[in-house]
Amino acid sequence: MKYSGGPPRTPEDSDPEAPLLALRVYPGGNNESDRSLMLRARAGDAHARQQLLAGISEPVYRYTLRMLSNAEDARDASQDTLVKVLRHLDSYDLDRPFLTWVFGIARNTCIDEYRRRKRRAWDEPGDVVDPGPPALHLAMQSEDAERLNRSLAALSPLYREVIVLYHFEHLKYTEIADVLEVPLGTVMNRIFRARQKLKDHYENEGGEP
Amino acid sequence: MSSHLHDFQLQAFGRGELNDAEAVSAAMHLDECPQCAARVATLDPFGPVFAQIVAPRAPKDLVARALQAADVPEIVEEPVWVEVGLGAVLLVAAAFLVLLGGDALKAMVEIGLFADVLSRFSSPWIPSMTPMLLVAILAGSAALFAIRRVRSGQALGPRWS
Repeated sequence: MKYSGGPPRTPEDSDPEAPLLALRVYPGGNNESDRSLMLRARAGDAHARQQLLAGISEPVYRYTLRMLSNAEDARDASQDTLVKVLRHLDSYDLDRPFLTWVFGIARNTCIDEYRRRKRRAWDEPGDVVDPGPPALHLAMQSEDAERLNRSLAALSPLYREVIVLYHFEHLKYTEIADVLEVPLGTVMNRIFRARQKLKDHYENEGGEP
Repeated sequence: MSSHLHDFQLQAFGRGELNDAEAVSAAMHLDECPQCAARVATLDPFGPVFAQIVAPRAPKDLVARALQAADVPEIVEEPVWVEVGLGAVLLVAAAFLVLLGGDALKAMVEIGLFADVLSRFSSPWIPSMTPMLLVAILAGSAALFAIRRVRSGQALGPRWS
């Protein structure tokens, strides 16, 4: 799957290889089949639980990898997120878009990991705080894409997350506000600042958007 | 839905040149209008670069591992306010003992409070201040632990810093 410059507005714009599950490919409200799936998962149906997690595992992993810049930490944080989703499914409001709820959990999990790293760095001088972005670059990518990835990894998490949620996970602005639990105006400010910082770093690296 | 945004509005939006109210209004329009959203994406100078980035794929066993982990009973950590509350109660108890000294001990013995514990310190070879010191040390430790937890940010909600 490759990213486009903005959010896909229809399921057809998304990954053609992805199984059909609207909550994954079309961030927005939940349709009837999604609701039915969630209700069955809540009731403990093993197949529904598996299907539900399969539908969110890719966006959750992409988000955690981009926020933590380390494959091992991202795998652990993704697993923690999926476990929390299952354990707290009873408290989920079915009228709220499922994906924004899931991203909220993933975000809190990443923040916990981020704090753990900071404490670890404090307790163990010399430990690496930010291992950098190499995990994102296993696939062959163009030089510009590599440069953009490096610029993205150089952003503070506060700014990186809005870029990730908008440009990579295709959430709407209102959905990002929901995930971050901040007003829409704050989201807009952060996105503009994040893009400016991204542009500055990208140009410093020799790129020209 | 209102009419579509003009290119100059979309460009100004992309450059962050709209004021707060205009930016919020444009964002709400873009959330609901696929045509304008697609247009703003084409005007984005980063658009072609974003399109070149290959998305990472999740490990194949991620879902299986999560399902397995979810079946293990959860260890529920006590919320930080329990520690803060405990520290506060112990601090008050320590202050009570320190301020009232021997009278407090005598009162506690009279009403039978902590009789078992206090009886252990009734030996003439152990100073009568020992229970007070123990409580003070315990309270101090609990308070320090609680302060450390609060300062580490666990009681402040989700923040990156």
